[in-house]
Amino acid sequence: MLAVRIWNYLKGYVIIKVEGINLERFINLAITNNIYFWDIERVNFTTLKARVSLKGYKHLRSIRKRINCMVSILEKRGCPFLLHRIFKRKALVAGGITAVLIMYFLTSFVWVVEVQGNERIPGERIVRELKAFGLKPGAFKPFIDTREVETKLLIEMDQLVWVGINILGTRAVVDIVERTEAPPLIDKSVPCNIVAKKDGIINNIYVYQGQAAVKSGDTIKVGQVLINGVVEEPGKPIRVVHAMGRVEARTWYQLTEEQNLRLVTRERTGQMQRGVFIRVGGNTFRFSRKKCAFQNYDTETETRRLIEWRNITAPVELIIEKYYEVIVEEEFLPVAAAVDRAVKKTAQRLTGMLPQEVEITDRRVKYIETENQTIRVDVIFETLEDIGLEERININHRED
Amino acid sequence: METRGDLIKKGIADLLELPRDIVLDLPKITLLGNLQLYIENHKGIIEYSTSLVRVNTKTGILVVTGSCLTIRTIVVEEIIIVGSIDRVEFLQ
Repeated sequence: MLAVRIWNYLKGYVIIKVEGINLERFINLAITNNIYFWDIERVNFTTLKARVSLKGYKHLRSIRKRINCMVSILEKRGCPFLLHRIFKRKALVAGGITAVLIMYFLTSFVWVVEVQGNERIPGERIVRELKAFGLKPGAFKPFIDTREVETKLLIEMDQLVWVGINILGTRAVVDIVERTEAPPLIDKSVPCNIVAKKDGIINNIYVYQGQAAVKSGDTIKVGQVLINGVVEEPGKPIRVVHAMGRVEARTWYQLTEEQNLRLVTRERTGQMQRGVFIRVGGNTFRFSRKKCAFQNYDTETETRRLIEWRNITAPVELIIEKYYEVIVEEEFLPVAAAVDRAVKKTAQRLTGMLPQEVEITDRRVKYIETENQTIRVDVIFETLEDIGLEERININHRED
Repeated sequence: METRGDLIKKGIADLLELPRDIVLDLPKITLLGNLQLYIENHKGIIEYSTSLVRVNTKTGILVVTGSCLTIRTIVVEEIIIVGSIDRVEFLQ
């Protein structure tokens, strides 16, 4: 039924008033002439209101002649009439078309350059470099060869390993990967010492070249020379070499973690709802109809701004909030379990902190219960690691 | 009203289990509660007012009485009458 009504609306129809004596005959004649009528309503004995399609209305004229009745239009409805009315207003139509054209024209430019994935290099610097290659706000999209810009940027900036430029609508999204810099290696021909980079106790020292300055069991401080590049042997001239070796030392890391005995877990159920808001100036308007129906939920907020140009920001913001339904569970941990949990957390933190090839040999756990049902856990990890660091010998200084 | 031809047709319809409304050209009337009356295969409308509708069919005149009656749709084959229907009856 709805489909029929939509169809009628698209085709256009008129509401007519028929006045006459034998209106039943009028209806019968109309339907035998294949004129489609609907919603017929008797107003009084001599009047009838009905809806009839546009095509049907034209055919009505022949019937009108045969029976003595008067047909008048009460209302015109549907697309054809609407379009007719709109097209009468030429300025409006022209304005609409111009607006669409302007929109189309404006979308063929890049308006925003976004840099993603940079950690050390400031985004502005990359934007500045890109500007030199023609990728900047206001650039005409068909003139930008993203591949070429990528290559040029890679050549220009040494610190980059990979560049990917995607133009999404009016935004140019520049993904970059920075080069991870290798620690500065001192050439083998340059004389150097090996010094400690951390405090610790020497466990083992293997000297490949140079002279050991410490022995196992020694306590050392940061910066202390471990293997001397200046080799002094009795009866021989002093030699200056590139010291090489491996110095294994025991080092300690102390980490503290607080653990609440009351453990609250929030587990997402996978259900998600979205709320869309529009912020105009300082006022926020809800755009989506429903409020969040979940009892417990986590909210993630994403803000989308319109174009930023020079220092002008559009005062309109689109805020999308995602609500994830969560199941909140509360449990009380026994102290031992809480300590265990805290220790695990610290171990995880430690592995993130430590350089590679470090072995954790021992750990000592201390904890105290504080107020509010929390415990404070101190964990001292003992590790075995290579603490040697090459340090250039200043020859001039030696000759003084 | 039934002619000799009709009787033969009826016999054939019964024999072959054909739908009678098609063979005998009978109206098929569907009443939806007291809200809507759907008449298929009518022979024209005789009278229409908000309280009374008379429709011609093969089996006689169908009289529908009620209040606020309007004709939702009318084409050669079918009529849909909506409103509050009190009574539906055939007049020979």
